Amino acid sequence: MVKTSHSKNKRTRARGAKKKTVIPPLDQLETGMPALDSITGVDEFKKGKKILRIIHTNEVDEYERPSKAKRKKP
Amino acid sequence: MPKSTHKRISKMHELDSVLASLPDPYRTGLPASDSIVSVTMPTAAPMAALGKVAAGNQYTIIHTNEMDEYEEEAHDPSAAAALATLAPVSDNFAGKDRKAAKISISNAKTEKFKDVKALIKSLAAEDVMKNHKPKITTAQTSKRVKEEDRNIRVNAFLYAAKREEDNDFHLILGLDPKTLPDMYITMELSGLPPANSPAFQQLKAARDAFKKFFDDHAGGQLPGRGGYDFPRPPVPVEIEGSLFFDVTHSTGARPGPKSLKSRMPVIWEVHPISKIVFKP
Repeated sequence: MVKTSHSKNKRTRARGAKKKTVIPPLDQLETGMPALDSITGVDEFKKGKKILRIIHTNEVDEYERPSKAKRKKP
Repeated sequence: MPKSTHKRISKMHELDSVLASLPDPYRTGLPASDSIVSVTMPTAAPMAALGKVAAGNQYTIIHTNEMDEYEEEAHDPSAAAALATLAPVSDNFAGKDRKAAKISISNAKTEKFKDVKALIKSLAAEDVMKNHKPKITTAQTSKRVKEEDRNIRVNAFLYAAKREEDNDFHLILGLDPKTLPDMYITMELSGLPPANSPAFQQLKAARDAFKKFFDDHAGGQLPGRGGYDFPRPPVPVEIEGSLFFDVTHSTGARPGPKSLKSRMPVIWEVHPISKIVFKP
């Protein structure tokens, strides 16, 4: 008997294995993405079927003062 | 000095109205407004009135203080302004990193690409190149590795250009401005190798074509070192050249003006450009 992919899936689930959710990689060219070299970290979490990401960057408003650690000593 | 076909505007109150009036239905690729220091724009008098044959479209050049972030002056507007006043001293290549690759042209057959998106898709992954065996070094003698040993021809649009300390011109090329999402890649007109180098004539012809475009269509002022210049509208061009992986910037800040670099997915370059045909 030829096993179809359907029967294979059914068998896998019957054994109790969880269906894996494939998380797509970040699409750098998606509208509104930050520059690649500004990204300092990414948090991912699921909400229902949706995967949400928070992309942390070092981009700040240019008028902001640099953090104390980065300020040059006189 | 800009030729009489163009005038330069740098007063803030005039700049605002000039930028607002640009005949620019497609805003793709414009720099951040707070980076704009002046604009060179065509004068109302047509070239014909000056007794010259009109040589195609005349372009507006938006001068900015946007630099590659790895440059020391990128975070110091006053230093960038000082650089902007420097006159070019030479056309000769003055760099060191991977000099052998940057001023030579591959012998490979030319591959044709319809646009920069297709070209970018054909490039080896960054991880592969970063972990390349043999390792790609920044030594002057570092030649092209197998993945770089390709010649390409591609249709593109010129969005920005800047002169570098080593006398290269960084050109930022992208898709037709009507195509979204936008995407860009760096291509470089290398500083010239010694006159007896096999690549000399081609590289000089490419630089001459670039200078001629600015002479004929943009007021005669070449992009300088003080920041990227953005021609508006973006200029259609056909480019030929050899591929190059910019391993020098594979860590830390990546190349490109800050307004466009989020849409520059690779640090691959066409370097050197061996031929550039402007289609204004």
